[in-house]
Amino acid sequence: MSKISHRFLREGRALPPELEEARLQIQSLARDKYKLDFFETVFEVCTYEEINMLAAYGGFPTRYPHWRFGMDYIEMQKSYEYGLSKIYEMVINTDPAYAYLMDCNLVVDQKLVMAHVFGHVDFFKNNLWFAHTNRKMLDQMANHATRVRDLMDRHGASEVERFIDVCLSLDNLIDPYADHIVRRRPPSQEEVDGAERDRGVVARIPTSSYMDRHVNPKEWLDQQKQAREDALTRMRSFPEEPVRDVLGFLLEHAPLERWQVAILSIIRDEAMYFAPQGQTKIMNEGWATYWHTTMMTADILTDAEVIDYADHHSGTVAMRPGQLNPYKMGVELYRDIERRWNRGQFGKEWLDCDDPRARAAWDTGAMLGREKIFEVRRTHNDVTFLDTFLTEDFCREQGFFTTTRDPRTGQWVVDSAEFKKVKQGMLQMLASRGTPRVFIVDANADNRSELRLVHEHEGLDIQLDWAAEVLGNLAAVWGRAVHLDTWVEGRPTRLSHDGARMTQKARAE
Amino acid sequence: MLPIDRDLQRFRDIVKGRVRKELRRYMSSGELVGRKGNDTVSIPIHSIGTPRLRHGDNKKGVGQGDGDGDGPGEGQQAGDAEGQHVLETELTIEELAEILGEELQLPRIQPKGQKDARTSNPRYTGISVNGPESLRHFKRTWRRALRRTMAGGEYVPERPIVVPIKDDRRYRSSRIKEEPRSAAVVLYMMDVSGSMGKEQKEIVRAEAFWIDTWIRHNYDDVETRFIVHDATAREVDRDTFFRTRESGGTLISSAYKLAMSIIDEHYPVDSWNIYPFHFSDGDNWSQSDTKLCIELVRDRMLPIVNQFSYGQVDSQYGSGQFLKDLTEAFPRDPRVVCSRVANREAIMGSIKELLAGGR
Amino acid sequence: MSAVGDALDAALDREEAGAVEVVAGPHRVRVDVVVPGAVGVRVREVRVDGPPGDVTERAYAIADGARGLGERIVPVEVAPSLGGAVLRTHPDAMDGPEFFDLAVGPGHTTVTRQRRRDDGGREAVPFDLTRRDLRRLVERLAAPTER
Repeated sequence: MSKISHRFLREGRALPPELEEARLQIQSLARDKYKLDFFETVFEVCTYEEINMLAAYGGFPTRYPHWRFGMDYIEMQKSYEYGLSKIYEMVINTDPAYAYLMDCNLVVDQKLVMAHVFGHVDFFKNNLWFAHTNRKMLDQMANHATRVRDLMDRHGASEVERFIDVCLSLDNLIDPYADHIVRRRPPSQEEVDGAERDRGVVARIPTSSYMDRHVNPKEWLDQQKQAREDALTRMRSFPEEPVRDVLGFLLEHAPLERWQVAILSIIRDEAMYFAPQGQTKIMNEGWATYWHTTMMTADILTDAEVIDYADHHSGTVAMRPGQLNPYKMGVELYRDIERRWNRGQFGKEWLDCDDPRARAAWDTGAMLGREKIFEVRRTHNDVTFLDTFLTEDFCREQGFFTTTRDPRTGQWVVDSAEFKKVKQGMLQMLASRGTPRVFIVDANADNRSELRLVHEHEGLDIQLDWAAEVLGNLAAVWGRAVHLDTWVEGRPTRLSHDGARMTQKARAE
Repeated sequence: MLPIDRDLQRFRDIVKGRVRKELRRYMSSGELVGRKGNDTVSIPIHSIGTPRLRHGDNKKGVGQGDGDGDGPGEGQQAGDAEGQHVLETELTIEELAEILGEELQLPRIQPKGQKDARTSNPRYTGISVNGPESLRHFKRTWRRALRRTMAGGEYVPERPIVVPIKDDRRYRSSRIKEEPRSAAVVLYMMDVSGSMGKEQKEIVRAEAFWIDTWIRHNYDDVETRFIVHDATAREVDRDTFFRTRESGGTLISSAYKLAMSIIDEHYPVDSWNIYPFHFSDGDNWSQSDTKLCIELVRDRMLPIVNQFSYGQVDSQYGSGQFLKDLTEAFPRDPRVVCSRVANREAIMGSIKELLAGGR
Repeated sequence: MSAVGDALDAALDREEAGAVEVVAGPHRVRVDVVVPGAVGVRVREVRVDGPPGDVTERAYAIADGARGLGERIVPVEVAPSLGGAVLRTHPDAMDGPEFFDLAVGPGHTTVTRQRRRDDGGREAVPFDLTRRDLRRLVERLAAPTER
């Protein structure tokens, strides 16, 4: 066991002997028997207040000073009091990973939690969407906190806090797929002038291949001329390509003071760090649950404890008929995938087979289930996970919809149209919880240095009251008016904000 | 002290700032009425929290969740709330009263005269060596005697006789423990005759809420009594007070008489700061009854109350003569405070008027 | 009772502004006319006196019978111990700041129209009735409990 590098909450928090023993046992089980692949994981036992604090802080012991954490803390406390959510554990995506256990939990529950935690850490380590997250975020968060406090000392706590408020309202306007910072500077005047000159002169590029001589020179030269025209147009439009990373763009090009640049980078950094978590909630929870249920029943519990366990947790994975709870669905999907790949229920033949009896009896003895779910947890996010694996058979087995009797065959069948509706509904719900896709398309709109953005509408409108505040903040940062082209109730609309108020106008498509 | 305490405090300050800024709205809407606990008030705060671009149904004004990159990492997540714009948070009654006092510029109340000490139960807490036999502190006397006897080798456990001698005697001293506790009684009187409709009663309810908040802030102990009247008056509990509806005529004197009899029986003026508050739509049955009311106020109430307060609420029928008659009868007496409440929006101004005297 | 109605009609036909008073049997009617007319009149007050009866009974009967005024009239305060009742237009039936106010005593009823002022007070305003509605009103007020 390697040395613990951080004791950040307080001293004397090592696991008591029986928990330490459990930890070693479960860790070895997870790693050696089940081949989970996780960072070294440090467990700490915390009081209820500490866990609430950590939850409000996103799992980190320190964050920059801001009222939002106070608000989140109160909200969590309240929902705990109402029994709406019981934080059994908290684990963060770092290397080494840190996990916090509630001091009041029974040992059998702590064992479950540890198994669950190893599932999470394996997910963090292996899911591709997390590949570029900063595993040293523990230090980074502390650095951010120090930096913000410094800036508050220097520039005033209220002023810095207000600017943080503004940045937070924009912090979902990032490109979660960007895995490195792209510097995007506007073309210099020389480059534009150079391109202008080139327009008139079409160089004859020496061709090296024999065939080139026989290419119609005029056609080829016309193509080159067009290519240069396009390049020139692109250079004149800035940004050249639509930019999803709005925060990044602002960092580069908005008229910010140095301390504001520092704050905005911190906010962006943290948003990038958390972004994959939002996109993989179902998969991650499902994965961790899959492993704790597997390990608990197969290896960890004594027979007596199994009864206790069943009692405690019969609620956690069951779904009420007719209720679709995405988080509970994850584990059921993994089990379904495992079962199908064990029985060879995949591939073209399987998809083509529509005899229900043959499908029910299908078993090629492939035994690829475990391998498959490991692969799935690596490559998918929630949307692709549901899209790929939420099948009609799965829905029927889970009792997601009712059956009716087919008058022709006398059989009970599921309404396929209803399945499509169910799946569509689930994907729609995921999409709606997601951030609207917004891109900067013009940083010199109407030649007045105004900012124009486009919302890629996928069937869901943007909520206007909050949009007004956000666009106001964007205008404040950009220093000029901003415009967002979107669709509202089916009509192409431009939302504009001049810093004072938002206006809503129809636009040509 | 956890690091988050700083953020909690900052958030509470922001909440207080919001309540301060929106005090008028809270007072007009009446949304805090009924949210008082023992020491705290639950405050609904609208649209606090960070706005972000997100999907939403603009017709219904409901958001579709909090989008990405929003806070807490793994573990069960609270706060996956769908489109919630209202946060409930708690302030102590003290904090709410401070905000009220600051925003309305209410002077702190100076309790009248000698009322700071409740002298009805003197507590003997000192021990002295001299005193009347009735105050002899028997335990201490006995203990001293026992010690003396044992020290002298005279104590025989089989025959434990201890005879206190004069030097042993200890007496309770009447050093009265001064616990200055200020006390106030508020007598709410409301006209519940037919012309006082639901809206009017809601206004009275709201006014009572704020008056309560302020008085409790200024006194250690506060009692409240509730009187409803039409042509006759009776005492009721708080809930009944706001729910009663009669259909008889209005005889305001019935309420004032009942209030006086309650005061005479239970609230001696040298121990209590007394606050009668009467609310009505001003349509007394007759001028002669109004004359009687004025006599009751002048001759019976004013000599003993801190302040006599009258709030006249407008109904759909306008409001009546009583306010005019009362202000004419007491044009310059600072102990008589009147206020007209035309509608909900006027509540804030009315509270300020009623409490501006600092009495 | 058409005796009192006829007497009133005759008096109003004289087409004079000012108080018009008629007596018919046990009933007396007084109408304060502002603008006389053959088809309609503008009045400030209508008062009907008659034999005394139970205040509560009268209050409810008159509320019912005052329909000719064109607005739903309801008892607002019924105070037999004080010797009277107050009836007014139901708040839901009010269209603006004006309403009818009927003061009912053991033997008399006084009808006026009031307007709620912006400062909260009230003032009496004249109101218009067709001659026919006025006659019917007076007849009902004269014998409210008879049907």
